[in-house]
Amino acid sequence: MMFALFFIFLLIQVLIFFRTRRASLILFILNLAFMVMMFIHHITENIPVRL
Amino acid sequence: MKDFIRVSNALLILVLMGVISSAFYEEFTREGPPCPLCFLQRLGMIGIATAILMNLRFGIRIKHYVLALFSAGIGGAVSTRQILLHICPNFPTFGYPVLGLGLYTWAFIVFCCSAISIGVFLFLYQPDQAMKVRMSWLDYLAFLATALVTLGNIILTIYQCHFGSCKDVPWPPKNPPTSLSVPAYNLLFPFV
Repeated sequence: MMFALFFIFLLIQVLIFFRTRRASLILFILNLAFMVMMFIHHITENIPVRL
Repeated sequence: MKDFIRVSNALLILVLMGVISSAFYEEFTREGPPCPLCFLQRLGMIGIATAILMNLRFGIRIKHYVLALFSAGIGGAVSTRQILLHICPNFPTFGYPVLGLGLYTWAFIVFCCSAISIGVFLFLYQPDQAMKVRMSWLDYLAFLATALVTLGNIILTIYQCHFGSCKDVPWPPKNPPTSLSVPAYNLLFPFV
Protein backbone atom coordinates (compact mmCIF):
# COMPACT_ATOMS: atom_id res chain seq x y z
CA MET A 1 0.00 0.00 0.00
CA MET A 2 2.79 2.39 0.95
CA PHE A 3 4.39 2.15 -2.49
CA ALA A 4 1.18 3.57 -4.00
CA LEU A 5 1.64 6.85 -2.12
CA PHE A 6 5.18 7.23 -3.50
CA PHE A 7 3.89 6.28 -6.94
CA ILE A 8 1.19 8.99 -6.82
CA PHE A 9 3.86 11.54 -5.88
CA LEU A 10 5.92 10.46 -8.89
CA LEU A 11 2.81 10.81 -11.05
CA ILE A 12 2.21 14.31 -9.65
CA GLN A 13 5.81 15.26 -10.50
CA VAL A 14 5.31 14.06 -14.07
CA LEU A 15 2.07 16.04 -14.27
CA ILE A 16 3.84 19.14 -12.96
CA PHE A 17 6.56 18.71 -15.56
CA PHE A 18 3.92 18.66 -18.31
CA ARG A 19 2.19 21.73 -16.85
CA THR A 20 -1.12 20.21 -15.77
CA ARG A 21 -1.71 22.28 -12.68
CA ARG A 22 -5.28 21.40 -11.75
CA ALA A 23 -4.81 17.63 -11.95
CA SER A 24 -1.59 17.77 -9.97
CA LEU A 25 -3.23 19.91 -7.25
CA ILE A 26 -6.19 17.51 -6.91
CA LEU A 27 -3.91 14.45 -6.81
CA PHE A 28 -1.68 16.17 -4.27
CA ILE A 29 -4.58 16.87 -1.90
CA LEU A 30 -5.82 13.28 -2.32
CA ASN A 31 -2.36 11.95 -1.51
CA LEU A 32 -2.15 14.10 1.61
CA ALA A 33 -5.50 12.66 2.70
CA PHE A 34 -4.15 9.12 2.12
CA MET A 35 -1.08 9.96 4.21
CA VAL A 36 -3.27 11.13 7.08
CA MET A 37 -5.34 7.92 6.78
CA MET A 38 -2.20 5.77 6.90
CA PHE A 39 -1.01 7.65 9.98
CA ILE A 40 -4.36 7.22 11.75
CA HIS A 41 -4.36 3.53 10.77
CA HIS A 42 -0.90 3.13 12.28
CA ILE A 43 -2.02 4.77 15.54
CA THR A 44 -5.25 2.79 15.86
CA GLU A 45 -3.76 -0.62 15.06
CA ASN A 46 -1.23 -0.18 17.86
CA ILE A 47 -3.78 0.72 20.54
CA PRO A 48 -4.37 -2.39 22.67
CA VAL A 49 -7.98 -3.53 22.73
CA ARG A 50 -9.24 -3.53 26.32
CA LEU A 51 -12.96 -4.21 25.84
CA MET B 1 14.47 39.25 -5.43
CA LYS B 2 12.29 36.94 -7.55
CA ASP B 3 15.33 35.02 -8.75
CA PHE B 4 16.63 34.77 -5.20
CA ILE B 5 13.33 33.20 -4.06
CA ARG B 6 13.35 30.73 -6.97
CA VAL B 7 16.95 29.71 -6.26
CA SER B 8 16.11 29.33 -2.55
CA ASN B 9 13.12 27.13 -3.46
CA ALA B 10 15.32 24.89 -5.62
CA LEU B 11 17.95 24.72 -2.87
CA LEU B 12 15.31 23.71 -0.30
CA ILE B 13 14.28 20.83 -2.58
CA LEU B 14 17.90 19.73 -3.03
CA VAL B 15 18.50 19.81 0.73
CA LEU B 16 15.41 17.67 1.35
CA MET B 17 16.49 15.17 -1.29
CA GLY B 18 19.96 15.12 0.27
CA VAL B 19 18.41 14.23 3.63
CA ILE B 20 16.43 11.32 2.12
CA SER B 21 19.52 10.16 0.20
CA SER B 22 21.54 10.13 3.42
CA ALA B 23 18.77 8.01 5.01
CA PHE B 24 19.20 5.61 2.06
CA TYR B 25 22.94 5.56 2.71
CA GLU B 26 22.36 4.79 6.41
CA GLU B 27 19.96 2.04 5.48
CA PHE B 28 22.26 0.29 3.03
CA THR B 29 25.53 0.69 4.92
CA ARG B 30 24.29 0.02 8.46
CA GLU B 31 21.40 -2.33 7.72
CA GLY B 32 18.79 -0.26 9.56
CA PRO B 33 15.42 -1.23 8.05
CA PRO B 34 12.91 1.62 7.58
CA CYS B 35 9.59 1.29 9.43
CA PRO B 36 6.11 2.43 8.31
CA LEU B 37 6.53 5.70 10.20
CA CYS B 38 9.93 6.27 8.51
CA PHE B 39 8.26 5.83 5.12
CA LEU B 40 5.56 8.32 6.11
CA GLN B 41 8.26 10.81 7.11
CA ARG B 42 9.94 10.37 3.73
CA LEU B 43 6.55 10.91 2.10
CA GLY B 44 6.22 14.17 4.03
CA MET B 45 9.62 15.37 2.75
CA ILE B 46 8.79 14.37 -0.83
CA GLY B 47 5.45 16.17 -0.39
CA ILE B 48 7.22 19.40 0.56
CA ALA B 49 9.57 19.02 -2.40
CA THR B 50 6.73 18.31 -4.84
CA ALA B 51 4.74 21.35 -3.66
CA ILE B 52 7.83 23.55 -4.11
CA LEU B 53 8.37 22.02 -7.59
CA MET B 54 4.97 23.49 -8.50
CA ASN B 55 6.42 26.91 -7.65
CA LEU B 56 9.31 26.32 -10.04
CA ARG B 57 7.04 25.17 -12.89
CA PHE B 58 3.82 27.19 -12.56
CA GLY B 59 5.13 30.32 -10.86
CA ILE B 60 5.25 31.03 -7.14
CA ARG B 61 1.78 30.91 -5.50
CA ILE B 62 0.53 30.90 -1.93
CA LYS B 63 -1.46 27.68 -2.59
CA HIS B 64 1.74 25.77 -3.31
CA TYR B 65 3.32 26.98 -0.09
CA VAL B 66 0.19 25.95 1.82
CA LEU B 67 0.44 22.41 0.39
CA ALA B 68 4.10 22.30 1.42
CA LEU B 69 3.13 23.42 4.93
CA PHE B 70 0.45 20.69 5.11
CA SER B 71 3.08 18.10 4.14
CA ALA B 72 5.48 19.47 6.75
CA GLY B 73 2.70 19.34 9.36
CA ILE B 74 1.85 15.70 8.59
CA GLY B 75 5.52 14.70 8.52
CA GLY B 76 6.16 16.58 11.77
CA ALA B 77 3.22 14.83 13.44
CA VAL B 78 4.52 11.42 12.32
CA SER B 79 8.06 12.09 13.57
CA THR B 80 6.68 13.46 16.85
CA ARG B 81 4.74 10.23 17.35
CA GLN B 82 7.88 8.19 16.73
CA ILE B 83 9.93 10.30 19.13
CA LEU B 84 7.23 9.92 21.80
CA LEU B 85 7.17 6.14 21.24
CA HIS B 86 10.91 5.81 21.70
CA ILE B 87 11.32 8.05 24.74
CA CYS B 88 9.03 5.72 26.73
CA PRO B 89 10.95 3.84 29.43
CA ASN B 90 11.91 0.24 28.54
CA PHE B 91 11.19 0.89 24.87
CA PRO B 92 14.14 0.19 22.54
CA THR B 93 15.39 2.83 20.12
CA PHE B 94 14.98 2.21 16.42
CA GLY B 95 18.00 2.13 14.12
CA TYR B 96 21.33 3.74 14.91
CA PRO B 97 21.83 7.32 16.12
CA VAL B 98 23.41 9.82 13.76
CA LEU B 99 25.44 12.52 15.56
CA GLY B 100 23.76 11.47 18.78
CA LEU B 101 20.17 11.71 17.56
CA GLY B 102 17.84 9.13 16.04
CA LEU B 103 16.85 9.54 12.39
CA TYR B 104 13.25 10.32 13.42
CA THR B 105 14.53 13.18 15.60
CA TRP B 106 16.52 14.53 12.65
CA ALA B 107 13.36 14.20 10.55
CA PHE B 108 11.47 16.32 13.10
CA ILE B 109 14.20 18.98 12.96
CA VAL B 110 14.08 18.93 9.14
CA PHE B 111 10.29 19.40 9.15
CA CYS B 112 10.55 22.31 11.61
CA CYS B 113 13.29 23.99 9.54
CA SER B 114 11.27 23.46 6.33
CA ALA B 115 8.17 25.02 7.93
CA ILE B 116 10.21 28.00 9.12
CA SER B 117 11.80 28.51 5.68
CA ILE B 118 8.38 28.28 3.98
CA GLY B 119 7.14 30.88 6.48
CA VAL B 120 10.01 33.16 5.42
CA PHE B 121 9.15 32.59 1.73
CA LEU B 122 5.53 33.50 2.48
CA PHE B 123 6.68 36.64 4.28
CA LEU B 124 8.71 37.65 1.22
CA TYR B 125 5.89 36.77 -1.20
CA GLN B 126 4.84 39.41 -3.73
CA PRO B 127 2.19 38.98 -6.45
CA ASP B 128 4.71 39.51 -9.27
CA GLN B 129 6.41 36.23 -8.28
CA ALA B 130 3.39 34.32 -9.65
CA MET B 131 4.52 34.89 -13.26
CA LYS B 132 5.80 31.83 -15.11
CA VAL B 133 9.45 32.00 -16.14
CA ARG B 134 11.80 29.64 -17.94
CA MET B 135 13.25 26.98 -15.71
CA SER B 136 16.97 27.19 -15.02
CA TRP B 137 19.40 24.25 -14.84
CA LEU B 138 19.07 24.32 -11.04
CA ASP B 139 15.30 23.87 -11.34
CA TYR B 140 15.78 20.93 -13.71
CA LEU B 141 18.30 19.45 -11.27
CA ALA B 142 15.73 19.75 -8.46
CA PHE B 143 13.15 18.00 -10.68
CA LEU B 144 15.56 15.19 -11.52
CA ALA B 145 16.65 14.68 -7.90
CA THR B 146 13.05 14.53 -6.64
CA ALA B 147 11.98 12.08 -9.34
CA LEU B 148 14.99 9.81 -8.74
CA VAL B 149 14.51 9.77 -4.96
CA THR B 150 10.78 9.05 -5.35
CA LEU B 151 11.52 6.23 -7.81
CA GLY B 152 14.11 4.80 -5.42
CA ASN B 153 11.55 4.81 -2.62
CA ILE B 154 8.97 3.05 -4.81
CA ILE B 155 11.45 0.25 -5.56
CA LEU B 156 12.52 0.00 -1.91
CA THR B 157 8.94 -0.10 -0.64
CA ILE B 158 7.94 -2.83 -3.07
CA TYR B 159 11.08 -4.77 -2.14
CA GLN B 160 10.47 -4.50 1.61
CA CYS B 161 6.69 -4.50 1.96
CA HIS B 162 5.70 -6.08 -1.40
CA PHE B 163 2.21 -4.92 -2.34
CA GLY B 164 0.73 -5.09 1.16
CA SER B 165 1.04 -2.80 4.15
CA CYS B 166 4.45 -2.36 5.78
CA LYS B 167 4.94 -4.15 9.09
CA ASP B 168 6.78 -2.82 12.12
CA VAL B 169 10.23 -4.40 12.39
CA PRO B 170 11.81 -4.52 15.88
CA TRP B 171 15.38 -3.24 15.76
CA PRO B 172 17.82 -4.53 16.86
CA PRO B 173 16.06 -7.85 16.18
CA LYS B 174 15.38 -10.21 19.10
CA ASN B 175 16.51 -13.23 17.08
CA PRO B 176 19.59 -12.08 15.17
CA PRO B 177 19.78 -13.49 11.67
CA THR B 178 22.48 -15.99 10.80
CA SER B 179 25.66 -14.97 9.06
CA LEU B 180 24.38 -16.53 5.84
CA SER B 181 21.31 -14.30 5.65
CA VAL B 182 22.76 -10.94 6.74
CA PRO B 183 26.58 -10.97 6.86
CA ALA B 184 26.92 -7.32 7.87
CA TYR B 185 24.95 -7.99 11.07
CA ASN B 186 27.83 -10.05 12.44
CA LEU B 187 30.27 -7.29 11.60
CA LEU B 188 28.14 -4.76 13.48
CA PHE B 189 27.45 -7.02 16.48
CA PRO B 190 30.48 -9.36 16.61
CA PHE B 191 29.95 -10.37 20.26
CA VAL B 192 26.17 -10.89 20.28
